[in-house]
Amino acid sequence: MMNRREALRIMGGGLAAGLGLCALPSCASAAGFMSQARFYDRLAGLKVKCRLCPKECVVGDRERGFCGVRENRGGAYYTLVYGQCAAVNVDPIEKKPLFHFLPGASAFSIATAGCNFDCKDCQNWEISQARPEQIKDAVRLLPKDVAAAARRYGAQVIAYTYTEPVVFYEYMFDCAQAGHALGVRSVMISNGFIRPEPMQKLLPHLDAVKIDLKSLSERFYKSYCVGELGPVLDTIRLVKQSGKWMEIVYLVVPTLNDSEAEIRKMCEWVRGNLGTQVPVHFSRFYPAYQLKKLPPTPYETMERCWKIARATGLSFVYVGNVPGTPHAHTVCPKCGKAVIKRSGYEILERNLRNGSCRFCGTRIPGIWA
Amino acid sequence: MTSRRRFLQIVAGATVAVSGCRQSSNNRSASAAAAAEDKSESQRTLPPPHRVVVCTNPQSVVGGEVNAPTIEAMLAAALGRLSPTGNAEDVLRALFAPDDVVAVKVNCLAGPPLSSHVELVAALARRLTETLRIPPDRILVYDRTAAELQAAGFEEHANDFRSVGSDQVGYDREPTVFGQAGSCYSQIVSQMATAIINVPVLKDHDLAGLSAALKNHFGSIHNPNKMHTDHCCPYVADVNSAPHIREKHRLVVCDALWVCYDGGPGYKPETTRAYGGILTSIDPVATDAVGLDIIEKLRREHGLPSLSSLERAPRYLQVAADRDHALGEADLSAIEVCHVSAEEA
Repeated sequence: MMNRREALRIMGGGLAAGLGLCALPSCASAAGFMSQARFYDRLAGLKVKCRLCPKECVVGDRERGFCGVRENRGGAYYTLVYGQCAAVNVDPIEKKPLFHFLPGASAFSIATAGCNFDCKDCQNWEISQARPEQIKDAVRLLPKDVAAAARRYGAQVIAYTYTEPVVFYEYMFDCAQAGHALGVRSVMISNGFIRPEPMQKLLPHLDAVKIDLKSLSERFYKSYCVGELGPVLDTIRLVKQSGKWMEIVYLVVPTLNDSEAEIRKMCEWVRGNLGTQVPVHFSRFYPAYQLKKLPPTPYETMERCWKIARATGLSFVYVGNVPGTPHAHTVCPKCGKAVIKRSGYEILERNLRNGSCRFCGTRIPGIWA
Repeated sequence: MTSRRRFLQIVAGATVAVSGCRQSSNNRSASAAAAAEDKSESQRTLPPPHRVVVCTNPQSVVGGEVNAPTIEAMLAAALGRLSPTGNAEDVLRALFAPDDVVAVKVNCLAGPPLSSHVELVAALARRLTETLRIPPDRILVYDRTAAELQAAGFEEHANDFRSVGSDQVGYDREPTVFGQAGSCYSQIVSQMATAIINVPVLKDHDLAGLSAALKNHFGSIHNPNKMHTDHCCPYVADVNSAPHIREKHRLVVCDALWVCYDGGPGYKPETTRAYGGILTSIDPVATDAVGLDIIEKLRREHGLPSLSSLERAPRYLQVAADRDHALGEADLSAIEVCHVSAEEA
């Protein structure tokens, strides 16, 4: 059976060929894609301090940061993945998932190697936990190529996804600008682990953000993600304040973050900080990477999460990675009728008129056109 | 081929007193008992488990250049002193078999000025070939990338060994998890090698505290960048405890010809000095403990505060020696340190 990495490579390679681009030779060195990083401080002794993500790695000469894609060369800090795509696909926007943002749109989806987390359950670990030189069939796409390819493939959106776009910040930033110049929008699919300054500078160039809120437990973030909760919550608040469209995903991992108390706490935090209108997606866990001994999340647990969220007062709650779930539809909070019916990533029925429920006229929050 | 059982016997073997060595005051009676039961010729020539030989010769580095014949002689002396028989060949015969595929982990991260020296590795490879008839194409000198190996000069020695980057061979498709470390190991160690020789460079490391034998295996995994938090602890110990490393590790030959005592792991000319040393041992933890002692002495000589006073002491050494990891001995008082002088080398 073809694994995800192979599929991504094949599709990426196919796209590259279709675009008249060539896959990088397998001997390509990371040095071939070096571009100076935009957020770092120079320190004594040829060290640098990365100022992009809250880890703020202090990196010695010839060493890399935690993300594995930024390297200190003689006291200057470089990104090694600018324009070096580890994955290129055209996906439905629902796959991100973004349910209240241009439903049915195609997203030209790109990723480079690297992540600033080390989630033990990462589904894309083969590229997210890889160093750039370990991606043998990377595709070189400069920002203008990405924007042009998105247009050519009829994609309304460029999605920075699969791995963690924070670690390819400079590339994402330039792609978003290039996309806007051609009328293609940009969405960031992120863990939210970024410092405020770079996020504030990036937000004007984005059209929507999806953030994985992995838990409301600091211990979970430290033990299973090698990250921190606080900065993620700060980013979520920042995106909310910016007015950009945002949806939240919560991956429900059996025994680790699925207790009733934690689900309720998370929902109450969302209600208290973001309001009741932000979509929350509960995503079903499948064993992967270093958490293969856990079973997939039981359907009953997913149902329980949905009920807790609705009982907390959240209006738009979804369940993902569960075939046939009724909780994939967008339901009008006033009349209770489905304004968008979905099956998997497919739109079955649209009952929206100018962003409002066709049945009762209630405005449904989102970016619909 | 050296079996897992045999190797466990090696590392659990008795400490044998050797004239000229600072003898451990904490020898383990169980190990002594095990040795007493061991009657075979090869077992009698196994190195004591926690012996570290420090061989120094000022003539090994002259005018900034290393002296290959001197280094070859030092290696012979350092291996000889490691052996209870005093014979370098006995050590190699005890640790390796003629049909072994020997992976030699060098360290080229800092670039040519502070990489494992080709002269030392070539001398080691020739000894393996001469003593055990292991052909050069079954001696795999490896590091993360072919480019780093090439820059350090390892690609020019095809008569002595094969130089191969993990980027050429690839990493395991699935991670191996031990403790908090989950990594895909280089297929050179996981699939190709039957035995590993660790040839690190002795240097300070700004995050880990020390880069020597244990830390060197961060170059055997696909994601070392994920292992540098909390002073690389317990990650260094965990990475070395995975079966790919633990069951194949045979020998450490630590390159201390040049030692970086501050500002590592990159090359800092102002804090790197010619030490003219080679450390040999079968115990990577003990090697690191002795190496740390050397670095601390160099720091004192140059008026620098100790690593422990800077809270940069490598805590992973104690973890590597604990019951869960059992990779070797971290307590200097329990390590048998043997000094070999220039005259002997």
